[in-house]
Amino acid sequence: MKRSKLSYPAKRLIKTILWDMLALGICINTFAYFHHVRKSDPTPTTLSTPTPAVATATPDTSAAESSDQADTNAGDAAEATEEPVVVDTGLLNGNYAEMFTDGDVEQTDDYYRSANVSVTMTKVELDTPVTYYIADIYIKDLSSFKTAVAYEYQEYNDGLRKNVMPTLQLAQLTNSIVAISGDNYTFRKEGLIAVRNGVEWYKSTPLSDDICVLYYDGTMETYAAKSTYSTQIAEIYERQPYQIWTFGPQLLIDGEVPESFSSTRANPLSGIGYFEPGHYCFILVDGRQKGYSLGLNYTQFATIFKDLGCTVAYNLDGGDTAVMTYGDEWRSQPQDDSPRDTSDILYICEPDSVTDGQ
Amino acid sequence: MKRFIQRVMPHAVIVLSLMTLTFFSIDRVNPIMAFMTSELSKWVFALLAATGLLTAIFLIGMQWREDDRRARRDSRRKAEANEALEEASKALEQATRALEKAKEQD
Repeated sequence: MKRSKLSYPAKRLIKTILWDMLALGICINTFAYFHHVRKSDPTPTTLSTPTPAVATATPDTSAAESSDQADTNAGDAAEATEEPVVVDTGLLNGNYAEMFTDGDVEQTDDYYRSANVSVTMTKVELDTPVTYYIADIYIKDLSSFKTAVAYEYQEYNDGLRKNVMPTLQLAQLTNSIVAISGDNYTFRKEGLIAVRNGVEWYKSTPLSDDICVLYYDGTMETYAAKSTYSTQIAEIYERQPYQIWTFGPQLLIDGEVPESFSSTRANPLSGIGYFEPGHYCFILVDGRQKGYSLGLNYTQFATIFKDLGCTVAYNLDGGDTAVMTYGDEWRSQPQDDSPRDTSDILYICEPDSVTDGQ
Repeated sequence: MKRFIQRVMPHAVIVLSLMTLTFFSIDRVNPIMAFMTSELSKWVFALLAATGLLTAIFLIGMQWREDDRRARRDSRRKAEANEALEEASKALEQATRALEKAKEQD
């Protein structure tokens, strides 16, 4: 038998290092299991919501009429939603009638039009090379703008982790017209608020990241984590938030692109923009794919929103998570065959009163 | 048990330190993963602090014991040297006396 040439101290050192590395591996894996994989069941809490403002109207309804309809009481609303054809809660103030149909649904590869929802898809290719997709969205009722939480679709989830699932699968399950990966809130446990369709799924303050709030009146606002204290959060809740996403950063401050962001690296990105109540956009930037798209940094991303005319813009989870679907197919080109599963998606669909009636 | 703890503690410090450095590195790249801010991470840091503190206390205790041992050894050597010196002095004295006596007899 060949004798080892290593001296006793060297052997002892190697042995110690190996044992310590083994212990490190076990500890990190245990940590990762409890930090990322094992999640306690969420306890969603329904927040107070304003009186449903749902009424039938024609697309060319005047602003005044829309406003009156928004004030319709709950009884009238229930009566009015028996056979809704057009649902207009006055979000767009009666404007943009040309974006909607009289009742038929028109869907092509580039746009979706109905009496209640209008989505126009645009693909932009730059020489850099960078490719990004814009979904220009007009909705008459806020229930057309939803966030789907993977946890609610557990029975369709074949994966080990019941709180995440593929974006495309979620988009298909929700019959979304257009969908974008969300803020992936289940990946974090502290410093975030997750309100989805008027239901609070998670709340942990103080905030560690900027938040984006969509209120029931259709307005969207972003708040910086560093300057949002408990009193302001109480005020946000007082105003009855419909959605709160936590990821960030906010891409526009007072409608302008900030001088700098924490990161300047180009990445795949996804974000949401706000023009006015009822008019929003989703933007998805593909990245990390040579010859196709390298991605953008936050400043470039914010500039796109600014140039489109958005007054508020907010970054959602990027990297492997960032994807967009249109109908039940990919619209963006994910860098991997199966992009990272997500805990939630933002999507556009027909309003509740229409889908309920079907 | 104490010996076992003394043996394990430095390795625990190594493992927890490497974990902290790993979290720190990941946090530089992807802070949204909250590796430096999550509740679980805070427990890792607290554990690192506790094991580091205990290891430091054990190390200080060992250093003190080593200092005491050295002091005892030095004092013992000093006493032995004094004793030897004393014996040598006595022997010298006796020799001197014997020499003087021999001179007187001559």
